[in-house]
Amino acid sequence: MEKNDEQFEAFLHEFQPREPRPLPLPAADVMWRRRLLAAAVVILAGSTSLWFATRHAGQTKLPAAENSRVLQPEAVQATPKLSLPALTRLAQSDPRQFDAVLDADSRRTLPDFQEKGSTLASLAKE
Amino acid sequence: MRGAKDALEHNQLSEREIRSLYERHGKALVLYACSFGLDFGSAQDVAQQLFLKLLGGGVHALQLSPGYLFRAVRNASLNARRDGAKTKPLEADTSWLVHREQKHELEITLQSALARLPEDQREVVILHIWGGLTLQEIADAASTSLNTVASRYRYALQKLRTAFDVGDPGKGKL
Repeated sequence: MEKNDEQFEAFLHEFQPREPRPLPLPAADVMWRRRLLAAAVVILAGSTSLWFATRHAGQTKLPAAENSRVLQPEAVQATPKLSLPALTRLAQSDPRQFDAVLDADSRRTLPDFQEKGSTLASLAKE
Repeated sequence: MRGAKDALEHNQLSEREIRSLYERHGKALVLYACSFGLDFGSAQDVAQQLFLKLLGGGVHALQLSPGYLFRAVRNASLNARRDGAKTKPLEADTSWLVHREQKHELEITLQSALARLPEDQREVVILHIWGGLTLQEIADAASTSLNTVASRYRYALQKLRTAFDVGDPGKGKL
């Protein structure tokens, strides 16, 4: 009878209880994971915007240089210029010199239509 | 580091140890909860709530014997049943036990036979066969004598054997 019991027990051991779902993480762990995820998202967003900003700055360097070139005439303007009475006196005493001064001044103040590829140059060709 | 030190000072189990306890006894505890008429989902909830409580601390490591776990699940299952947790007739289609060769007919026969057993006999069989408790541990957990537990077990085995239509396990459906 005992042998039968043992055999029957062995038979019962052929059955296993159904597997339950795994134990969930405690709420504190879930909270930490969420915080870590949020921190990762913030870092990612920050570094992406920084990268974009750096890239944009790189692209805008050229226009900045161009701006300085455009502003160059203003810099030239800052150089001492002859006043209106002095120019009048020069026109009366030395007209050639007066023309040369006006010519030089116009190069500094007016757009250059002799520059290759400029809009004024193409308009002048037409 | 401080948490581990506190755990040692208060002699509490670490999270890993508690998770390993769940891996070892979770299946049998859920089966045990099912045997009180809870459906599988509610039985899982009962077992998991117990382990989440353990993870929250407050239980001394020395208390955490398998007997303690089964007793705690028993109380929680009876409370859940009283509070109207989802219950299922014990002979419902969802099987609590899976045969290693997927013989569904045998699974249904065993589950029906277990369902027909008186609750105290069913409890002893489940705790001994699938819970891995000795008859003495079951007696301690149920606060009954070893003789009572042993006779419940013998009667239960006889009835189960009859359900499989075998006096001799070499014959019949086995």
